[in-house]
Amino acid sequence: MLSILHVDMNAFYASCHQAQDPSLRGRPVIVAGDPKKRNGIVLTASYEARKFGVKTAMPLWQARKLCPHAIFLKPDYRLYVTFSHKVIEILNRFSPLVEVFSIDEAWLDVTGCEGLFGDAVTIAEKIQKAVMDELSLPCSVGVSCNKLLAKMASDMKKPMGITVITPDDVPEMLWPLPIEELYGVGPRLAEHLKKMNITTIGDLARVPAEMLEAAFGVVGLRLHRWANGIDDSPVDPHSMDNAKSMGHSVTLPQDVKTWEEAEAVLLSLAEQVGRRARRGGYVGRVVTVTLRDSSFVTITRSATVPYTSSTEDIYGTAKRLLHSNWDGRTPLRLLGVSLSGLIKEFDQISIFEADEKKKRLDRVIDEIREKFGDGAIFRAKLKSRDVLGQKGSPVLGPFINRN
Amino acid sequence: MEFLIEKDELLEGITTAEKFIAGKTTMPILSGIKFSSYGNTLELSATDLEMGIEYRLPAQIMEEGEAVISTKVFSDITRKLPKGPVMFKSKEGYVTVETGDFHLKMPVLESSDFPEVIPRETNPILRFPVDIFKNMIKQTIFARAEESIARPVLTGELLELRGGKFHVVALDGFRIAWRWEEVEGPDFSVIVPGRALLELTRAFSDDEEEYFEIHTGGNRVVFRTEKMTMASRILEGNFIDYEQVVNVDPKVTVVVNTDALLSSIERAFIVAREGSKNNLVKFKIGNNCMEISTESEIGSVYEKVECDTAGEDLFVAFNAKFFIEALKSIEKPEVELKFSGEVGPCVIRPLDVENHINFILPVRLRSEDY
Repeated sequence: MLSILHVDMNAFYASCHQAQDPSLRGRPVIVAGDPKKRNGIVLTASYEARKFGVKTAMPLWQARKLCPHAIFLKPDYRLYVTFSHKVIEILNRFSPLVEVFSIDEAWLDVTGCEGLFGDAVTIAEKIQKAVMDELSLPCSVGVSCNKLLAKMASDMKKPMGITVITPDDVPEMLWPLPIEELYGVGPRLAEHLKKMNITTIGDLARVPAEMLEAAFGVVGLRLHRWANGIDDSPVDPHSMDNAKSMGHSVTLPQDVKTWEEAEAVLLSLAEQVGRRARRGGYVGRVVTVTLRDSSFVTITRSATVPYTSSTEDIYGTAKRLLHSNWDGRTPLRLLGVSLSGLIKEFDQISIFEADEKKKRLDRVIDEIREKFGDGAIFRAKLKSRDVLGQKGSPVLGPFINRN
Repeated sequence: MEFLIEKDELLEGITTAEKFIAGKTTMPILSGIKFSSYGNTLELSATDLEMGIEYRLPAQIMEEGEAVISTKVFSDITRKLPKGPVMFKSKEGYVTVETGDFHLKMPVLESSDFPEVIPRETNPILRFPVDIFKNMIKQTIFARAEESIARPVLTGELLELRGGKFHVVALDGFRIAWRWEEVEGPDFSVIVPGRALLELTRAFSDDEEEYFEIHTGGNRVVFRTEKMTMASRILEGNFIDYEQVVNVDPKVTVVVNTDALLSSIERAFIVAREGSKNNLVKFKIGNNCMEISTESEIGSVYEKVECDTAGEDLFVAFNAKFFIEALKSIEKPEVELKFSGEVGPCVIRPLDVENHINFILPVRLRSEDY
């Protein structure tokens, strides 16, 4: 049954400025890091600017060349948050089950709402109209029977599209798409899959599930289901407030046998855990390390620390746990780091400049990664180290188990 | 050793001394209290090596001497004894305790193993009234850090005499509580573990007239009254320049009824501590009014508190617990709050009082909190 909607705001940042200032409507608007600086990049371009070839993450000078008459604006996050809240208020009118995924995306489960508002497609139309009429913001809506397909659908027609995907449409609409288009497949994973001769979503769907499991573990199984259009995760209005712990683990391409290597892996994991906590607005007070040796003996050890989401704090504690629980020789095949005892973050300002510096460093690294990708910046300790299967990049890609 | 003492006196001594006994220790001698009798005095000593006490009680001494007794059983039995005199004797490795028809016999621990509790050589550095000091500790100790791996000194309080002012300061990195009193004496500066100060204030008698002396000796600080001598390890390290830090440039100054503000924040705190557990309360300040608000999963609170405001309008958030503890330490009916901005400290003083300062840093609001 078609009852899951995915609402994706079109060129959200640029649209917000156009909504707020009618004189910008119909004109190319480019939101960029800092228009005054030469090295800024495009965060979002309005559709009017995209016609000239301006794309997200393009250097500012290039955007200027392509579209010299565009209006360049600095990002105003408070404006976006305000509009995002207003959009969610509209969505809440149509169903109590709204899962906010990011500032410009949300799912709705409209099961049982048909009697009030009409079928799912009619609801999609009503939402699109209400958001446009009341806020002057364009959005695309995907309609399907599960979250994965609804999200894939909303991506198909932009701006102001409404796309329906039924399970029967999967071979025709999903399978021809390149593998990168599948939700959950990043550049690293795509690269791995291509090496396995998997280039389209269809290729992935037809590979035996066991093979993907052998290669990527649980993640592989989930991808196989997604490629086949199967997703049974519920629309959860509280998905973001219920986190109890955040963890990453990695099964290593080769066993780790030195302190140096093990610490590098922990740092990489700590970075990801910290970043995820910071992105979700959490701080935690229990750091847990998982160590699995080559004979599959697994131990987990925890330590309690003052509430933190800082990479440095998480890494420092993980390292301490490693040193008191490993001999530095036994080959390790899996390492994991998690942060639990989570509560919603509060950024209590510290008297000590060093604490504030630590926070600023994490914030800047996170921002750089949001803009330029995960490989754009990494700690020197992770430079040219081969333990993670790939030099440099601290991203673990397919081996990550999020739990 | 042989002495006669009233049960209630003995119990008071044991109850005080046993707070200084090591909870878990690999040295059995540290689980004991040392009894020493001389002149007309029974002295009880206990230490966990971090801190220690000698507590003196009046007793009728028949024979001078000393004995170390394992505390747990002895203190439990003393609690259960009837009122009246207790006869205490030690010889040949045993102590006996007798009152009425009750007899207790216990082996003693080797008293030559008992460590030095109070350093023998100390230099007096300050003489000060007990009641004022107790209050100074009470008004500051809440602001110390319960635990700090990175900066252990923050688990202590700074006691410092500088230019004729005796300062008591606690800080945990997010707030400072600071009291001072004018007093004559040479300059000194020690950081004393918070736990030791709490036990010290409990061990002090309630006699309002009394003075005590602070001494230093080696890496220890010693507090001495007629009735007791207590020593503690000194925490090594530096405090931040608190005088410099609390000297802020206010954006808005508020004068408000202490209780009105305190009870409003306490109400908001009940909602704030649920769910999100971050204790966040928000203040909107301006037009002779403080609007106090908070929200969590269980609901939201909004309240207006009338006050005098002078300066710019301000919207700022704090950990409610910090404000509650600071306001509770204030005994005056009116309080002055100097806010220095959204990410700058608030400095709190009782109105027209100079020597009682609280400094609290805010919580940086994230864009969606506005």
